[in-house]
Amino acid sequence: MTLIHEPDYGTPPVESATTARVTIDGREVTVPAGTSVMRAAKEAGIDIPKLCATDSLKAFGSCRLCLVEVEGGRGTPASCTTPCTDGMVVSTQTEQVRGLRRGIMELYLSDHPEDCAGCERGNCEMQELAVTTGAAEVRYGRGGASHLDEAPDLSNPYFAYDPKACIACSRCVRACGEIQGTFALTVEGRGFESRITPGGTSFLDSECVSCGACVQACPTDALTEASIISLGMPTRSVITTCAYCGVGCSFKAEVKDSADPSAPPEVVRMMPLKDGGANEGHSCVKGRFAYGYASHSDRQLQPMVRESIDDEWRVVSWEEAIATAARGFTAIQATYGVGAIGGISSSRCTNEEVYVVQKMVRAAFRNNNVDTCARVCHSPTGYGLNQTFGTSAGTQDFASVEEADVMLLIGANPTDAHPVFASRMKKRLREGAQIIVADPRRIDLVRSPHVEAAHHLQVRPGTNVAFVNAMAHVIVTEGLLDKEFLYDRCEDVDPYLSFISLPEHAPEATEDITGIPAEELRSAARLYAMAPNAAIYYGLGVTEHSQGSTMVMGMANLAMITGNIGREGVGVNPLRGQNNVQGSCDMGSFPHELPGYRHVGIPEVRSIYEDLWGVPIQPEPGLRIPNMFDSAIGGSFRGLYVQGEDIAQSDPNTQHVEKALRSMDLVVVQDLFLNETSRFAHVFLPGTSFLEKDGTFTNAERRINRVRPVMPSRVGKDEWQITCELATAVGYPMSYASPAEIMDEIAATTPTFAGVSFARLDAEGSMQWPVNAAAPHGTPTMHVGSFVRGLGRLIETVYVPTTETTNRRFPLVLTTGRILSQYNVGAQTRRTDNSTWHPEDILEIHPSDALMRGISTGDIVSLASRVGSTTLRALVSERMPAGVVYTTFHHPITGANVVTTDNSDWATNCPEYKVTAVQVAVANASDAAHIGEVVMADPADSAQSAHDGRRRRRDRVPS
Amino acid sequence: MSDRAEHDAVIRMGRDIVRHFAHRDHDEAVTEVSAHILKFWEPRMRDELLRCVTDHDDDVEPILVEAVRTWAP
Repeated sequence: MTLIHEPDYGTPPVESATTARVTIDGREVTVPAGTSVMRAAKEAGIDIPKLCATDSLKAFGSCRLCLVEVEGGRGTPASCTTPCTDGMVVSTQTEQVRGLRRGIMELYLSDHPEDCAGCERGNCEMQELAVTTGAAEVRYGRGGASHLDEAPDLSNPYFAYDPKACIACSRCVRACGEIQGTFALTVEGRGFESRITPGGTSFLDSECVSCGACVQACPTDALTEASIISLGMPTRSVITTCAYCGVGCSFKAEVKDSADPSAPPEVVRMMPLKDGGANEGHSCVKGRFAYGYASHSDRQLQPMVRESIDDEWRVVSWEEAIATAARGFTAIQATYGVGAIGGISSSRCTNEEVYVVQKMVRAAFRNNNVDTCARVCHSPTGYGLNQTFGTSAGTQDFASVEEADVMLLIGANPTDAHPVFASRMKKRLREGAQIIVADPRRIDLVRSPHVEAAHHLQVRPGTNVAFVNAMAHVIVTEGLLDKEFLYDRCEDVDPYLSFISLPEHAPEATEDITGIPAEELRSAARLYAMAPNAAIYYGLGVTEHSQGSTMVMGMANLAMITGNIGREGVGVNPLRGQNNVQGSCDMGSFPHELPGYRHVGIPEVRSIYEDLWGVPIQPEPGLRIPNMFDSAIGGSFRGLYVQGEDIAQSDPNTQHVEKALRSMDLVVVQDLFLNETSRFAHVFLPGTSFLEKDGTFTNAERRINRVRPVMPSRVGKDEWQITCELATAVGYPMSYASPAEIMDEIAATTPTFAGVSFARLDAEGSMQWPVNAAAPHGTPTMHVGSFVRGLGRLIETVYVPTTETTNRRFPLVLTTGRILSQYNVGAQTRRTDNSTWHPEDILEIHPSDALMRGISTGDIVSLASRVGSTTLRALVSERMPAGVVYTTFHHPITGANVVTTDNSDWATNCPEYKVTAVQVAVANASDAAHIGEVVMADPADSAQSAHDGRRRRRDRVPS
Repeated sequence: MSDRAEHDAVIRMGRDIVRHFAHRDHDEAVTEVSAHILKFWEPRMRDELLRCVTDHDDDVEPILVEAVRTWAP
């Protein structure tokens, strides 16, 4: 393998119904009308020199290097800004343009360092262009005015800005605006004084979000990755998939092999792949830069065991670790029955790794006690979309947003949690689409440079269903519904229309519940219903509620009554939190479903696996994660295998989780790090990072992407192998020659994956399921013509208020979220320089709530709920409405889940992370030292009884 | 004898399900609640619910009691 250089066509592709046939340097080429001469030339195999042009940005025409002559035309136009017209004859190498280019290049070089480090490394286009244009000598000399004494900006941990090498082409400024949509960079001054600046401050202190688009766009050494400066240029590329959020960006991992063949290669940088279906060449600070955790010294690389959780860990061989785990599981089953053990699979692992975990549980453990971390994020999506549409998946691809006229964004904060998709949204908004934001918090998509939401519906946490019903009520009672679609494509239409027309759903009636002014809601509903294409995007602000599943069905109803389903630009789209949430759910990780969302109770489905695996499959559903905890405390569930999930930090009501973990006889943790959960583990099996994995991830648009190993496993085994060996040791022989063979088994048994194989994925780049005979290249848009279940089903979505209510003692509502630089429990990002931006979790509190409590920004405050308390730093902010406070759970020291409760979605048990009644106060000295406290029961509080018996002092250990 | 937490959990979850079908006709609600529990609950949770219903009939919503009786008459 060598370093992959993706071709740069200079200007973006043009879509046009007509074509233009042009002749460039004697070569004929036909292109869509409106294509630039520069791009047409590249397509004909002719490189025109350029500095300010790149095909990810609109043509700018400032560097004047790409001049050409057009037969019959006047002067020497810039080829990047000159569109092809039919019959045009272009010359790119006349004596006149060569002379002009040489002169321009000499001017650039007169202000470019003679000892440019980038030119030396091969990371600066200036040297190559000097050769191409024949500008070997600079006739103007180098003694004149220059920028060569300007100081570099090294404030950002991931890249350096060296103004000496800057040619003010503004590619970085345009990338920040056009691609990322942040507009943090600008050109200050005019003419020779033109300089690039991140708003007159340092990069670190600026609005820059470190997405890397400017660094990628820079043609010189002015903006360069710090890793390139310290490690030098990479020597080969491996195309793989990011292991952070559910966008699933494709990257070129650019690496440098060590001179010592026994040492692992070093990742020099991660470059977003232009060909990547999900990201099309863009990235965010996590995927682009935060990969250092994979080589962090905290990685636990050897298996370990211990008798009791109070003992010290003992490093052992793989054989001993696996034998110890297997012996423990077998003994538990012998004493307490087959159902006394189970496993949890990880949304950060590959489809192949997850598939073997559920297979181990079903075939080796012989029960259905398998669940996955999607339980605590998007399980209501699975239930809700399955009930209404017939399958558990988003309906669109990401590119679909480019056809949307109105976006309805509910309970999601894409600029922080799904940044690369957010950039697509912002681009579409700049083109004139409108956005309605339904969120208690004023997220960046409500108002930021070049973005202004048409409506910000500041829905009170816990009242989503009342809100979505009011939207539907307005659409139905004002006659804005799509009757043709409804009666043609859906069922249970009339009962639903009668239900939703009831006066209790009118926005005037729900205003007091949701906090959304009736007239504003009516306007928003009209905007959504009357748009030619309206698309719903949503996140955990929908699912993580006691009524999460109802809300998912409510959004599906909205799409169906307006006919916004089954074509580009519309749909109902979950923004998945982790890289492989979609995949881990697809792979049969839920205790009631075999791969492909088929219930274990269906004999025909079971027989597929029984025939192949040679064992009976239990026909009854197994335990879900919270049920495992309850049964552990009850004594009937005693052994757990946890793959790559930190349940002790990520799951709600930490005290309850810790009690459950302490109750078990055997906890086996497979992870990169000794995480919070491993404090309660008896066997630790080291896992592999995405840089070591060979397999596939499936992103939020159902896109199956290849994950390719950049280096061999650092722990001596692949994760799927470890699971297979454990299953074998438990008594069910399980082995595969390669992960490709696991995918072959998935394809052979799962109809939606029938046409998937590693070979097909390698040939196609990526494919969106269903991939089968009817859709051999995959399915970008679902439910075209008919729903997966045949007719879409309208379901009456009754608003049932949460039992988690505020009172005098706990008068505020806590809701939780994410921040750009950190990811989930932070196990990865906290071990990178991303902590520069977010070293601790912060509590956002409204000025009036803060004033009442004497709280100022920077104060350490205590945050207490009915189940526990913690301390953290306050930020007084108007982003939250009065009465609502907000924090993240990226840091174990804060332990935000110490305060979240056992309340969960009625259908799926997804925890209600988004609604916790709390009190906030300036912390006393002992609180500030991070010591938990017992929250005293309030006998006057009716909601208190639900939590009785579960109040525990948080048992902290130094981390 | 199981832990109180397990008892509380199944009752809480059972009640949550009932509340989401309570707007339906009584018989329909019973059928829906029963079907949901059979489809998604592991047998020992159903047994625990049955115990709760048997021991504390008065405290449990009639729909939940009747739903349990559909599989454990």
